[in-house]
This record gives sequence, C-alpha cells and structure tokens, in this order.
Amino acid sequence: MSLQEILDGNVRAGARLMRDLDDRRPEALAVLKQLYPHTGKAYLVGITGNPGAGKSTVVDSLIAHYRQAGERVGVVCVDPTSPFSGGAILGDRIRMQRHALDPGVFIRSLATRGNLGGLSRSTFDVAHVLDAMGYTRILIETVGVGQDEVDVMKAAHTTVVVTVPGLGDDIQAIKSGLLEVADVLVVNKSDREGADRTERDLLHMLDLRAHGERKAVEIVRTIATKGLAEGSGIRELAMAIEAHRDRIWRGPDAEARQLGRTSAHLAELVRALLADRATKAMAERGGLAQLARRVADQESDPWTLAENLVASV
Amino acid sequence: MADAPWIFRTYAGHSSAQASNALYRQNLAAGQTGLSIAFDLPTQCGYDPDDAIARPEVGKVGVPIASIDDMHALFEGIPLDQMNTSMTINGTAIWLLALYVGVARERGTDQRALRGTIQNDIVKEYLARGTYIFPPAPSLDLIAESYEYCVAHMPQWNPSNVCSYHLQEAGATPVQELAFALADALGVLDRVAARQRVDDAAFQQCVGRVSFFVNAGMRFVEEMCKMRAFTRMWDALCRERYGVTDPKLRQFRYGVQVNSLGLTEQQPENNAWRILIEALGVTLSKDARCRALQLPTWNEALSLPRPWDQQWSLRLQQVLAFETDLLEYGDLFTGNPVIEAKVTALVDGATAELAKIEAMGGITGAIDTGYCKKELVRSMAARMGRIERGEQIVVGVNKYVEALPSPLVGGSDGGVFHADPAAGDAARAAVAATRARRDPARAAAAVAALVDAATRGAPIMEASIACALARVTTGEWAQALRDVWGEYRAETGIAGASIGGASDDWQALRTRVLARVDATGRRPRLLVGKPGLDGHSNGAEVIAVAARDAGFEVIYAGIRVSAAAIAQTAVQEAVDLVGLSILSGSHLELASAVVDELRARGGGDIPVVIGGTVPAHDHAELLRRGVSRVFTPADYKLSDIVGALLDLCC
Ligand code: B12
Ligand SMILES: Nc1nc2c(ncn2[C@@H]2O[C@H](COP(=O)(O)OP(=O)(O)OP(=O)(O)O)[C@@H](O)[C@H]2O)c(=O)[nH]1
Ligand SMILES: [Mg+2]
Repeated sequence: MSLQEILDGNVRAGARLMRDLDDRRPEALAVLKQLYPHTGKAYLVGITGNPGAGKSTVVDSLIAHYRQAGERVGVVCVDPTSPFSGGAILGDRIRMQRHALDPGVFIRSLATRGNLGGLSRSTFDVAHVLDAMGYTRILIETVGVGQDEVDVMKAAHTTVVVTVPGLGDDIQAIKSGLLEVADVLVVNKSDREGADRTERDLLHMLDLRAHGERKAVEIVRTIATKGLAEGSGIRELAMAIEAHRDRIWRGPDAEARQLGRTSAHLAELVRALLADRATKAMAERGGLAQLARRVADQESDPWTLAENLVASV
Repeated sequence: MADAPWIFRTYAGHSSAQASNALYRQNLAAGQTGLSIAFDLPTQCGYDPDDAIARPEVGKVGVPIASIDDMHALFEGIPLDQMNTSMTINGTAIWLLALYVGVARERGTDQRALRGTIQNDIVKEYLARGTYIFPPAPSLDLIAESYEYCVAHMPQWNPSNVCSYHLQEAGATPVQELAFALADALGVLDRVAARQRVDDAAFQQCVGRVSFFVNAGMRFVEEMCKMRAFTRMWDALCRERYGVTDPKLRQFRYGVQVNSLGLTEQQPENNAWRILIEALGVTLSKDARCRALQLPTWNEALSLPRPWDQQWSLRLQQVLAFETDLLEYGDLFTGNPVIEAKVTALVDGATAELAKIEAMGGITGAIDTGYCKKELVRSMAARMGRIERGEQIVVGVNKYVEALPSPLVGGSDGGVFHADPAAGDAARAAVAATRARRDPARAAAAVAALVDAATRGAPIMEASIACALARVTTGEWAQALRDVWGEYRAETGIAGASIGGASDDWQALRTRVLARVDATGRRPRLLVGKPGLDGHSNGAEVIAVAARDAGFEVIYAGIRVSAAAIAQTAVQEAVDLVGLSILSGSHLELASAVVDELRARGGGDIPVVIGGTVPAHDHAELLRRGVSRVFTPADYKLSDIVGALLDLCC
C-alpha cells in the first residue's frame, strides 16, 4: 500500500494498514511514521464505562450527530480477548450498522490481545491512520470496564464516561479510576427509573473528590436508543463535548494538556516496547516457565534473575 | 362419546397471494379445519417487495402481502366469517390484522364474526425469531393495544399468541421454555394493566384471551409433563397475580408445532417417526392436550415442504385422531406418581427461573440486559457440544450413520420445493398497480393520521385500518412508524457462550490456530453475518462462538444486514474470511450480491463461505458464483467446520 492511497482515504488500503499495525508488522510501523506528519487534525473522543451501559449505542447516535454536522467520523471499538483461547467476539459495531454504507464513516473493531486498560495496544496507531485518512472526529470505545485503570484514555481529547441508572447503592462501581478520567459524564438509559438519583449521586461524588478546585464535569442524561430524536440527549452530549473542547483545547491550558496527552501516549509506547523486549529476552532463555524453574530449583533468587534479565534488554 | 379432535393446521404460504389461495383451498378440501398463514420475510419485517433489502426474499418462505389488494387475493373464495385464520405475524401484526379487517369491511362481513389469531409476540422475536422492528416499549404497547381493541371489537379473535415454540427452536430447555414464555405473557398483561385503558371486567377478558404456542420435542414424556406444568403455573399466576376468579379465563389454551430443530438432513425419512413421536407428547394426555396442531414434514431440513409432504403430515394427524381410540378416554396420567414428580420438578425449576426474571424487572428488564438471550445461546451451544461429542444421540447424524440411499430424495425435484422464480416480479408489479390505482391524497392523509396517533401515544388500530382501506402499502405503514419510534437491534447473547471445551478435538484445533499465529504473525479474523432478512440466528451464533473458542477474532454482524453492508464491513475490518449464514432460501442471489459488492470495494480476494439450508443441487452453482465452500446442517461437528475455515484464511 502506498502512503498516497492512505492520504487519499482509500478504505481497503487504510484497513489493511490497520490490520498490519494490529498484527505488529514492522513494515506497517514504518508507514505509520511517515503518516505522522499528516496527523493531528482529528479530535479524539474516548467513550468508556460499565459493560452494557450503552457505549456502542451512544457512539452510534454520536456518529449520526457528527455526520449531520458534516464531519467525517472514524470509530475504533475494542472488545476483550478471551484469555482461554486468544479469540474474541467483536460485537460493538452491530449497534452502528446503519452507518455501514456511509462513505463518511469508518468503523474498526479491535481485540485487546492481552493489553490492559480497556484498549488494544494498536488503538492509537489505528486512530492515527484514521486521522491521516481525513476522519476529523474519532470515537474510541473501550471494552466495558468496572473500576479498572483506564489511564490510557488520557490520550483522547475528551473522555466520556457512560453509566446507567439502577446501579443503585452500587454507584460506587464507577468510583475512582473511571470518575477520575471523566470529562463528561453520561447517565444513559435515562428512560429507566432512577436517573435522578444516579445524577445526584454522581454530583455528590464529584464534590467529594473536589479537593481544591472542582473539576468541571458536565453530567448529561441520554436515551441513546432514541438516536437524534427529541429527548434523546445526544445533541446535549455533543454540546457538552464541545464545551469541554472549548474550555481545555481552545483555552489557556491547551498546550499543557497537549503535552500531557503526548506524554501518556509516549509512556505507553515505551512501556510496551520494553515489555516486548523483556518477553523476547525471556523467550531466548527458554520462556517464563523455564526461568521460573530456575528459581524453583534454587539456582537463583527471583530478584537477581529479573534484574539480570532486564539488564540484558 | 369420543372427544372432538384438535384443530388440524398446516403452516403454508409461498410465491404469491394467488398461488397461496389455491393451496389453501386445496388444503381445506383435503379436510384441514383452519388456515395457518406463512408470510414472506419482507411482509414480516415491514418492507415492500421493491425495497432493496427485500428483493431476493419476496415470496420465498411465505406469501407476500404488500397491500389490501394482495389480502383480497389471498382470501378469495374463502368466507372469512366461517374461517379460523391463524397468522404468523409479529413486527407487523397489527397491520396485517388491519388488512384482514379491511377485507372484511370491503366485503361487508361483520368484523365481530372474525375468528383467528395473530401471533403478535415480540419478546420471542427479540430472543429467537428476528422479525422485530421497533424498540421494546412501543412494541409492547402495540400488543397491549391489540388486546384492548379485540376485546372491544373482535371478541372471537386472539390478539396474541405467546410463543415458547421458537425458544425451544433456539435451544431452550423445558424449564427455560416455561419460565421465559410465562414471563412474556405476564409482561403483556402487566402492560395492558398499566395502560388503564380497559376496565376490570375487560381486563379479566384480556387474561382469558391469552393463548400460547408451544413446542414439543423428542423427549416426549418430559414434554407432556411440560404441558401439564404450563397449565398448572398459568392457572396459579392468573389467580394470584391478576385475581381472575372465573376458571375458564385461567385455562392454558395452547396450539403446538412440534420440534423441527431435531429434524435432520441425513436420512431424512427418519424424521417421519420423529414427528409422530413428538405429536404423541401433546395429544396423549387429555388434561394437557393441544387445541391445534401443526406438524413439520419429513424434508424439513432440506427445504420448504411441497404440497405432498404437507399432505403426508396431515394424514398423520388424521390417522391418530380417527383410527385410534385416543379420544375415547379421560386423562390417562392423572395421579401417576412418575408423571407427578416430573411435573413438580419442572414447576419448581420454572418458578425459580421466573423469580429471577421478576427480579430483573420482568421480561422487559431481562430483554434489556440480554439475560434471556444469553441463556438461550448458552443452551444451544451446550446442545451442539453434546451432539458433537456424541453425548446426545441423533440417529443418522452421530450414530447409525451408514444407510441405504433414500428413495424419497431420488425424484426429479430432489424431494424439495422450488419456489416460483417469478414471484418477486409479480409482487412488485402488484404493488406498483396498487400505488397507481389509489387516491394519493387519501393515502397520504391516512399515513399522516397514523404518524400523528403514534407520536401522541394514542391507539393506532383505527388509523391502520384507514391506511389499509386507502391502499397504503406494508412498507409505507412500517416506515412511517420507524420514523416515529426508531428501529431496534436485539442483543446477540453470544459473548458469554462457549462450545469448544477441553476435548482432544478442540485442543488440537487451538494448537493448530496457535501454530498458524506463530508462523504468520496473524491471528485469523472472520466476519460472520446474515445477509437479507433471514432471522435464523442459531447457525451464525454457534459458528461465531466456536471460531472464538478456537482462537479466531470474530466480527459478528448479526441478522438482517444488506449484502453491501457485509462487504463494506469485511473491507473495513480487513478480515481473512467472510462467513455467511443463509437459511431463507435466497442463498444464490445473496451470495452473488456479497461477492459482487466485495469486488466493487477492492475486497474480491477475501474468500466467502456459506452455511445453512442450501439444497445439494445449488452447491455447484454457488461455487461457480465465487463462493469458496458450502456447509449444511450435515456438517454438525463444529471443530471440523472451524478447522476448514482456518485452512481458507490467507
Ligand atoms: C430452528 C429453526 C427456526 C427457528 C430459528 C431460531 C434461531 N434463532 O435461529 C425459528 C422457529 C425462529 C424459525 C423461524 C422460521 N423459519 Co425456520 N427453521 C429452523 C430449523 C428447524 C433449524 C435451523 C437451525 O437452527 N439448525 C441448527 C443450526 C445450528 O444449524 P444450521 O443453521 O444449519 O447451521 C449449521 C450448518 O448449516 C453450518 N452453518 C450455518 N451457518 C453457517 C455460517 C458459517 C460461516 C459457516 C462456516 C457454517 C454455517 O454450521 C452449522 C453447524 O451445524 C430449520 C429446519 C432444519 N431442521 O434445518 C427451519 C428452516 C430453516 N426454517 C424455515 C422457515 C421458512 C422459517 C420461517 C421463515 C417461516 C416463516 N415463513 O415465517 C420463520 C422465520 C424466521 C426468520 N425470521 O427468518 C425453512 C427455510 C426454507 C428454505 N430455506 O427454503 C426451514 C428450512 C424449514 C422448512 N423446511 O420449511 N426457524
Ligand atoms: N432502555 C434503554 N436501553 C438502551 C439505551 N442505550 C442502550 N440500550 C440498550 O442497552 C444494551 C447494551 O447497549 P450497548 O450499546 O451494546 O452497550 P455497551 O456499553 O456498548 O456494551 P459493551 O460494549 O458490551 O460493554 C442494548 O440492548 C441497547 O439497546 C437507552 O438509552 N435506553
Ligand atoms: Mg459496546
């Protein structure tokens, strides 16, 4: 595939590059590096939240909204890899089916392939390709997360956390990690009972964590299944995302925040590359099991072994 | 004196209103006592025959009805006030009822004299059958309105038929069938109660009008006990939950279609025995005998039945009812301790399951969270696993597989039905003629009134009858309401299921996949989808789960996707292989469409395979049209299928 094809927005070429990046082909990484100067135009919105909260349905409705606004929309949705088989069922895009034939929409599913934090390792590589292909609004759906670490979402411009009513006393389920990364909070399925209470609880929790200045987090109620119909709350959600964009990315802190985003991405890349090398080094020494045997046989203590291994990396 | 027999029905309809009308008259002349109408998928999903997604499916699995003109043709020469008409129609149920009433009005037949049933059960569409259109809330309101309308204006009509039949066809165990169907019925009645549009006396009538459509499989003793459990539980629920005092209104009234999932492609003649045994389960016991019975045919797994096949199954009912002494006795099983114990166990299991669903907020909650669907897929996956491992014996499939060639499939037609290839064009011409003939202002005004009623949350039945009389089409009616209520996509339920266990076959397969990943650096990626309007999801679901269990990344596109959307998805996802599952009989058209659309998008190098109900005589043609491989129900070992898929991945 040529660079030009990607820049021209050729779907087949772009998709193949994404596949190669996901499969960690070195030649694909070379292409990505060349593409890099052509990226940076897209606005990345991360969508995370509890399993089944309606993330994909929210994405579906947001696509409709951004398309109406004339933007080209790229979507990356991530589902978990089965630790047992290494396989995965990628079922998010089924909820976005009505956009399948819209030439202004590109949807790509990825499996976590063992990566933590609700995204696959290739997620931002793929987002960069979409960016270079001219998709100006990129929506990234993580796997359904409870309170896991979703730190990597700092690499998005705006992070939306989707919750639902009826978590009841369990509202704690979205505590710490998730609330920390939220720029906008969504109470989806607000056609169900308990949306008021959930909203109150969320407000309360935001106040509690407000040591010093309270982070300005808007709470939006949605009924994502209503699409863009009156009362779905999707336009309000899009407005909240724009308000956050204005505040942060068009405000005085933009530069610092951009640095933060790049740092998060860079840190992730470095960590992953080191982990690769460590894995390789272990493989060269017969694999983890083999190394563990040396500890078990008391040939070495685990600390020394780990130090030596990493030193050789 | 002997009891009167149950109603003999044959589920039928194909090609066109005219052809189906001829078939019905023939069946009635042969001694059939009621009509059971099969509609084609466009009619069931709310599309006109000239809609792009409908085109290949018109007239294939049932009769196309696009307007009141088609409805007139369908019932020509059949007096409506003397007929008991059962219509298998759900997403568009209230529309087909409006068309039926419209025909009666135009003929001058008293609408209060109409007798019959619309299936009108949306829950099992979400869970198993796939011909839903709107989200749960407006859909349940439509069902509630049918009850309100029928008790007031069509007292002999059954406004809905709560179905457990399809749940068993999607894998449900007897306990799941009991619990899910009862929860479904409660969901409907709760909705009627909550709307407060009928007074208490009318509400009790509504309870009395609830009828059921149940399945009966090969474990016929357990199935008979299931019917008794249904009867017992329904009586108690009506009494305790709704305070129904009249025992007649608490009766568990049910019709049956016996199980088809277990009817095999291999040695298809054996299916005749299976059907007989299944029929016994719902007729032997007087206290739990069905009101109406529909039987599939010996060639069920091969194609739609031909008229002769249907006649053969009808004869089974007649022999059973008229040659035996079955109808001369009271209940044969009352007081039998073995039966009693089994019934109690089923009631206990179902009561516990029902309580679980109640705790989720009833059936709507359990649909929302995907609970019921997940449980069904799990059961289906478990069933496939048992058959693959030989733990569940299916004669001719995993045991006694050597057999002499069957003369039944030796005829010039291969023992299968051939739909009329001209049906689509005829239906398109008919709907064009209707549109050309009608008063456009009247049609537009009728649709506007419909939209207005739906937007206000007002009843839509009268507005729908007005649409019918104004010759509004099925697609126009449905689209108007889609625009108001939106379209729904049900949960797939596949993520939690698993098929490939730790058996040697599966371990070997996973090792092969891993070796491939190591060698090529590529994890196989497969797209599974169902082009067209086909809602048979079992095959697609188990293949998706099996491939995941083997280590594939599977993009699951689900049911009712256009060929173009499947191709576009395949290209965007850069998959190694596209797997289509087609049981609607439209495999030739749809396979060609997917292959062409792939080529048009630069994905012509991605191999395409097909699975489903594909008669042998079409295999070569599919390969010629660019399909790499064809699988049928005879390929029951999922590990072998997935192994073959791996070989096709580049
Ligand atoms: C179960 C069933 C149903 C269930 C479906 C439940 C569900 N959620 O799937 C219910 C009761 C809902 C149903 C309804 C209807 N059904 Co039906 N149904 C069947 C039945 C009995 C079994 C199909 C099945 O699920 N088998 C089990 C699965 C696992 O097998 P399978 O799909 O064949 O898959 C295997 C292989 O084919 C292959 N495979 C399948 N797909 C794929 C995909 C890939 C990628 C690969 C590699 C392999 C593969 O692997 C699988 C493993 O063994 C068949 C008859 C029969 N015995 O085969 C009729 C049948 C398919 N139904 C039929 C009809 C007409 C209908 C209706 C359209 C009737 C109507 N007019 O309303 C309705 C509407 C359905 C709709 N919305 O489209 C006809 C189709 C006629 C035709 N093609 O010419 C059949 C053949 C019955 C008949 N003889 O009339 N049905
Ligand atoms: N009642 C109601 N249901 C909704 C709403 N939004 C989504 N749903 C339903 O909730 C279910 C889950 O929706 P998804 O969009 O798949 O949820 P998700 O968070 O992407 O799920 P995962 O990716 O599996 O974690 C589906 O059945 C949706 O139809 C809503 O606003 N109201
Ligand atoms: Mg999702």
